[in-house]
Amino acid sequence: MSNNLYSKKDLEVIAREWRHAKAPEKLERMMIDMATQKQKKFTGFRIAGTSVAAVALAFVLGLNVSSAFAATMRNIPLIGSAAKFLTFREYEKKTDTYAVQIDTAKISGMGNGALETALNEKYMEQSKRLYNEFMSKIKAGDENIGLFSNYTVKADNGVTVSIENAVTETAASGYEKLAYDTLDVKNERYITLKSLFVDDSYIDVISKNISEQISAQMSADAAKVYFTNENKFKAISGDQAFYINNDNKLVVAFDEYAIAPGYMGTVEFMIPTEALRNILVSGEYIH
Amino acid sequence: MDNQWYLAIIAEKERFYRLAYSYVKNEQDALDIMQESMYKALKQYGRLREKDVVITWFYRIVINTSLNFLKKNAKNIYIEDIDQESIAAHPRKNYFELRQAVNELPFQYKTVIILRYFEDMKISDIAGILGENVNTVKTRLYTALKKLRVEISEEDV
Repeated sequence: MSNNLYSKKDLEVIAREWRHAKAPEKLERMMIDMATQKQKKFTGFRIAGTSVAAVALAFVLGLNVSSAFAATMRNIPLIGSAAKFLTFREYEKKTDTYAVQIDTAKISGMGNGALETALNEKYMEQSKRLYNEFMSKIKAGDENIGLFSNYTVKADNGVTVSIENAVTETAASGYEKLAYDTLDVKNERYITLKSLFVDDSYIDVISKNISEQISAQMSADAAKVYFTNENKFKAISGDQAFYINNDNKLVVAFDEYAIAPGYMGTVEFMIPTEALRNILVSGEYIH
Repeated sequence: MDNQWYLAIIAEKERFYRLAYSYVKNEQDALDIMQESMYKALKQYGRLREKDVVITWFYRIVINTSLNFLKKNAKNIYIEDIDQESIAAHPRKNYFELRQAVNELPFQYKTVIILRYFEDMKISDIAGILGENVNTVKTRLYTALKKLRVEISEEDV
């Protein structure tokens, strides 16, 4: 067989090299961890590693190379007539077993920039945190889960701007959480719920109004259902989610499942200004 | 006592990892295959009847997991056969070329070459891992050696 070049000895030379190849050190750790935690109920690892690595890389790049997002900016509304509000897709990935879509917001052009810097950092931190939490669930073997986070300008009445961050997590069922940042763009003020009122009585006043609205809704419309058991609405928290709408009215919001069954979704209540009149610091933002 | 079976697998981790690596040729994918294989093993061990064949059994899991991985990842589609032209163009004896040729062997041929000559396993053990009979494994080895241009007689595999 003149065609042949090699002998079994040649194969043995290559085999020796082969046996010297070492596995990465983390392999043993991973195997031991998996074996000793098997009661933790793994639900499967069907995630191609390269995709996870690529995910991490894409995300790091995304966070650091902001200019790269110029092309992916989706909307550039002016807020408060001067500042710009941008959102961009920080990270997006869909596989057979999970889907993740994380947007980040960026505000620019707001006066000296201290407030916008703080907010932009907060948004970036939030994106990173969501991403890390989600990926650790993936690594722990969770399957069929999804995470979606996006930012929108909920309201802009020329005086105040409210930015909404909606985070939806899906597993067997979905769960939506809302957070708002309300700003006085012209004066670079971050508006907290408490700051709108002269004292802490706003908690009781607003809670009482919401309770009345819940009762009224439930008796008027059988489709409106709020919890009546131990999860029944009792009172708002001091820093309850809120925004100021385009008509300069205060709107208080609740996450899905917080005070009503899931099919009600997230719920919100517009609080009539008359109910607040006596405790508002001024009529500047809410009237 | 019985829950220590995985220590036997972990003790031989290098062998499994190298095999997985030989199919996917990168660390991250090889680690993923190991992770998924381990996951399957943990899940299926309870159904394994002959507990003394745990190594053979785990080899089979790694091979099947690797094959599934390759099928799923189109970019890694393995070459169906060695390009005979390129070998003919370099008729010199060259370990790099031989290594390359092993790398490019189709899945089933690569598997038998690695298990038989690199991991020094008996043909009967390889047959056990692959769920094939001894003669099938021998024929496959002989064909693989021919593809690699290794001089060998059929009785001598």
